[in-house]
Amino acid sequence: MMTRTVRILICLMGLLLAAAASAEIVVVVNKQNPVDSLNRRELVDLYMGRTQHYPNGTLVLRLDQAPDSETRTLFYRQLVNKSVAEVNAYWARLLFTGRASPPQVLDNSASVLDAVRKNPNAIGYVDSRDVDNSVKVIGRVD
Amino acid sequence: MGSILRKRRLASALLALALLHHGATASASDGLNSPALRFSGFATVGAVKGGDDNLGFRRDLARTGVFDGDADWAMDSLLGLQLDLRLTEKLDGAVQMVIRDRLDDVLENQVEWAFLRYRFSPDWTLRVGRIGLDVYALSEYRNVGFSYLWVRPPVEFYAPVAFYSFDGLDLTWSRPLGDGMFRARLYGGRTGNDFEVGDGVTGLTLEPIIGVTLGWESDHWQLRMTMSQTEVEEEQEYFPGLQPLADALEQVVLLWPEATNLQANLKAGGSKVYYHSIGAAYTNAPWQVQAEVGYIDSQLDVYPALLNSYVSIGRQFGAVTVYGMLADSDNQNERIEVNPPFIPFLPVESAQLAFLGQALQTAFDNTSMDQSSLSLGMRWDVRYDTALKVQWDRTWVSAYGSGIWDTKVAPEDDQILDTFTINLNVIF
Repeated sequence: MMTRTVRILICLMGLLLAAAASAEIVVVVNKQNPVDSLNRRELVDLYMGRTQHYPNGTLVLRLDQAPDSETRTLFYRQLVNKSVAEVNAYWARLLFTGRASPPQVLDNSASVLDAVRKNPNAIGYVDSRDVDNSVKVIGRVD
Repeated sequence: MGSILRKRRLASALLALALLHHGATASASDGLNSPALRFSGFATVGAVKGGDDNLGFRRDLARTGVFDGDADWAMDSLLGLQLDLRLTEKLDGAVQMVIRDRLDDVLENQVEWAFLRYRFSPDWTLRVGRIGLDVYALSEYRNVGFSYLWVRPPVEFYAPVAFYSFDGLDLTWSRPLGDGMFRARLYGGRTGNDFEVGDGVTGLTLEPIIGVTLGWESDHWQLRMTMSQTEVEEEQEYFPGLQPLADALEQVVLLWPEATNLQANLKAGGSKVYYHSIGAAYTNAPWQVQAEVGYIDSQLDVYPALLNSYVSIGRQFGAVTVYGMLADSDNQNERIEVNPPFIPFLPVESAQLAFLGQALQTAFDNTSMDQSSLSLGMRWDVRYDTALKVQWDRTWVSAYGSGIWDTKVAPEDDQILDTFTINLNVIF
């Protein structure tokens, strides 16, 4: 009896802890986008400008969150272990040599989700708590 | 006078930056669709303090030096503006203007590059127009201070190549390879720049310039290899500014038979220059290591063959990266010694020959680049778009090897010079 209560309590605490730690970032695309999943390698290639296309050859429209947002900081720290300033320095090289244009910056998760809903080629990332089923989740960064 | 005007123009351009900055952030967050027009830019504001009464510090060969340990704001400060235009999914274009201190500050020179690009497929891209020249790893973005660690690319490696872009076309092929992306780039066209010679400014045109760049980039590694070949245009018989010397030599051949050979040493038209380089960069927080080795093979006696290299190590402490760098440029040619004859019964003519010989010796000595530097510095990412950098360089210049510096009289002994730099770099 006692042990069961303890076990339930531990389970509950675990769930709470998991929820607290679940500042998990999900990568989303338009529901019409034929891409169903991207692995870490493919996400890095897209977000670090090494390719301008989805694996199926469609041109990509990359979206970024506000430069001082926690979501953006966490996304790049987890994806490539770099600060936003370092990622910007890297992108400055691609942009100012004319190789590629950096992701378009939107203000917040709501704007990102809205842009993804409206544009079949768009790709964005949001906090997993902000996501809804109007978009398709194709990857996780944690 | 011209220099003051240039500095004033630079200052007003940098002041305009604050307004532009505000406008740019507003437009970037408006549209939801991929923007057809994109405006962006970069700027550096900073001072360099260096040189002595004889050797003037300069960032590249097409600059006027900073002497006497003076502080100079124009050497590194600049403003770059870029407009990207997307016409269709496959066709786009871009224009970049860089406003900075230059010898001939006309609009045509301010256009750093302007090209149209066509993407045939995810693998193949063609560009036509004025395109950045990537002879070395940082060549194409050496103006963009925010994008690299140091206050400027090492002069031992980057100053000898005073060409930033070329007019022509390039074809790029890229493919995933292993953990990273492989890129091959083939390019061809013409390029040129202006150089200060004596009291005047003369242009030098290289045509054709052709080259190939192979690169591989992964999360942690960037490896690259480049080869390019240029030729001084045929019409340019002598190196910029050396025509009067060549003419004078022609008139003294009867008294000084060796003058014919020396005149040939000044010839430039049709001479080829080959650039080779290999480079590697490794980034894995908190460490950042980068190195390049280059070899310039030259048929020009006034632009001697050169072996140059650098290695840099940086370590991050939060938003601050502390770094050290060693750089070296090693002249590969023997010094040409000019010895005009003394003819006892023609003292006046002998004095003129000695004067001509001295001018000629200076022309040869001032182009030899033989020096090493140790640099220590710090980059602080103040914000996601702003970096503050400070750097100290100690440079050992070999006798008759001060070609990287704006030289008044080629020093007969080894020299040691210190250079201090502080600058603020932003992107927008």
